[in-house]
Amino acid sequence: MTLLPTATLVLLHGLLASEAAPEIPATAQKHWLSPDRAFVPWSRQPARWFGAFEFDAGFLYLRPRFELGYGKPHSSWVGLDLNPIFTDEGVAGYAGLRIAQPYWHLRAGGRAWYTFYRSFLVPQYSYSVEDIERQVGPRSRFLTWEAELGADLPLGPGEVEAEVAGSYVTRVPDGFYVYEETLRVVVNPPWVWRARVAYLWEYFAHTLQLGPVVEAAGVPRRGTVVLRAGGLVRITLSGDLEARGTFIPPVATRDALGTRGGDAFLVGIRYRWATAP
Amino acid sequence: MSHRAAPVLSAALLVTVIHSASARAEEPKRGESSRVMGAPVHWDPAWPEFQTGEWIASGVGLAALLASRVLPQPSAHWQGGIGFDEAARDALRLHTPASRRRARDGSDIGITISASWPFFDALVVAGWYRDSPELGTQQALISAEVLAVTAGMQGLVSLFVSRERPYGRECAGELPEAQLPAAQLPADTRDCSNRDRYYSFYSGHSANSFAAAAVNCMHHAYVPLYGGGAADNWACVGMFGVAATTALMRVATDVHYVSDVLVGATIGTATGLLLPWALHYRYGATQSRAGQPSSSSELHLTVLPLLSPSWNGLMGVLVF
Repeated sequence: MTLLPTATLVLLHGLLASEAAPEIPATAQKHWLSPDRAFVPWSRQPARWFGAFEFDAGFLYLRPRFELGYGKPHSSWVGLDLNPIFTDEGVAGYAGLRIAQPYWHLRAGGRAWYTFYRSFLVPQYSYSVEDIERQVGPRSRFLTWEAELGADLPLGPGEVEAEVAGSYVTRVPDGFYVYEETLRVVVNPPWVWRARVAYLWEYFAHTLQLGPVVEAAGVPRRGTVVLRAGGLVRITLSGDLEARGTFIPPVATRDALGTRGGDAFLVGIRYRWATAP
Repeated sequence: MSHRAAPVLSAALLVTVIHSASARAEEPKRGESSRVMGAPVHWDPAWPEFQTGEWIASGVGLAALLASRVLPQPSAHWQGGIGFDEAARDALRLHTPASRRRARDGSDIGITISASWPFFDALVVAGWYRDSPELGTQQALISAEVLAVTAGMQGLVSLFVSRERPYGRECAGELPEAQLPAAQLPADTRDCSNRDRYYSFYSGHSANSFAAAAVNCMHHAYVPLYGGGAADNWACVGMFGVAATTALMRVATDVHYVSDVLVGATIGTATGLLLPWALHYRYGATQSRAGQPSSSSELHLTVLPLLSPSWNGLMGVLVF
């Protein structure tokens, strides 16, 4: 019986994994802290059972993500995603399942938010930052179930990245709305949808990716859609370290949430690690 | 700076930097295994590497910051301005809640740019563009230490001084209704009901922005990350410009008095200059060109008084 999950995952991984071998930047073949030691790129490592983590840090957030699964860590794998989130607004935890393959990924799970200061919101047509910071209801603590399908496909001198996601927000008391801290929209529960498309050009032997992104998030029961647009930049510093910038402010929205209306200005690094083969 | 203009401006700056970098570098053909980038820069062996004590200092700084957010606040608070605080508030404070909110977003973006800039230069410019990760790592650690120590000191001082932010006088419930100003804040808004209302002295945004600018100026003073000469000097001017704009917006948005941001800027600048110099750079020489040490390691900080009928202040000039 104990071999059954392994056999299932091996079979699943074998069925899903394509042996596509995209070009690997030279910097991705180095360790950041010991550049003389060869780093086997994640997509070329052997499939195995592994534990791994991805650590996003910037001003001012920490987002570690733990992965437990089978396959090639951070590349093509199947398993469990655990994602604690620490910000100055509150703490959250996400747990879910993920299937990641060379050109697509699918994840589904639940995220619980415990905010430090924010309360649930009294329903109104639109919201300002002052509105979402008024403490007029019970403390905002909620659970969001979420599924996301993403794809990244080579196209011309770069690649297209696309994501669609559906979220189901729960544990909001009747008669209240909630500011969903991760999606950055005011929600009349339960449904929220989100779609994002980006095109990233590649420079410097594929170590620099840079391009525009457009994102829409809709709340059907409020009859509102938030449109965001901006840019993404990623620089492969080494196989295990990446610098990232996300600049996606809201550009068309009923609400006036300023930088809280999107990932308006996030700059940070992402460090990746996994247990050895 | 509006919250929408700031990302666009920053993206334009980033594209300019990248364009300038790519203009100097020979773009490799697809499939080539190595990049042709900037000349390497090296950590001078005479400069002590990041030491155990510095890890401890950084940890203590972060612990102090955390403690400042959870320890009980004093029951009595310092309220009101000193010296020219009230006159400066009248002159600089934006008049509508919406404009103050935009300035607050702008100050948040400003400190994000300030705090990220040293790490961009260390990891991306030194580590990636100049293929010198050893130096990049050392500079990133020093910058992190400066920010942690600065944030820890600021957090504890703010906790114990417990000065009410300027907007606090407009929180409903604090004054008889007849005396409330027209633009009062609801008592249940986070700014009024939260303990953060009493963290005015001194400004964390200003201290950390100026500390980040100062420590990165020290890195540029000793290592020609941008190639040496005017480029590195202008980077320093730009960083202090962003820090000064951030500090100004904290006053405009009515979350700090001028005295809060001046003290924050002074302490941040001093920490950012002295800590890396005392623990690292004073032991070796500057590098005037990438990879080429020179013997000159002179660094001068001149502080000048600024006096006018309505303003008094200090201006620091760093010459290297």
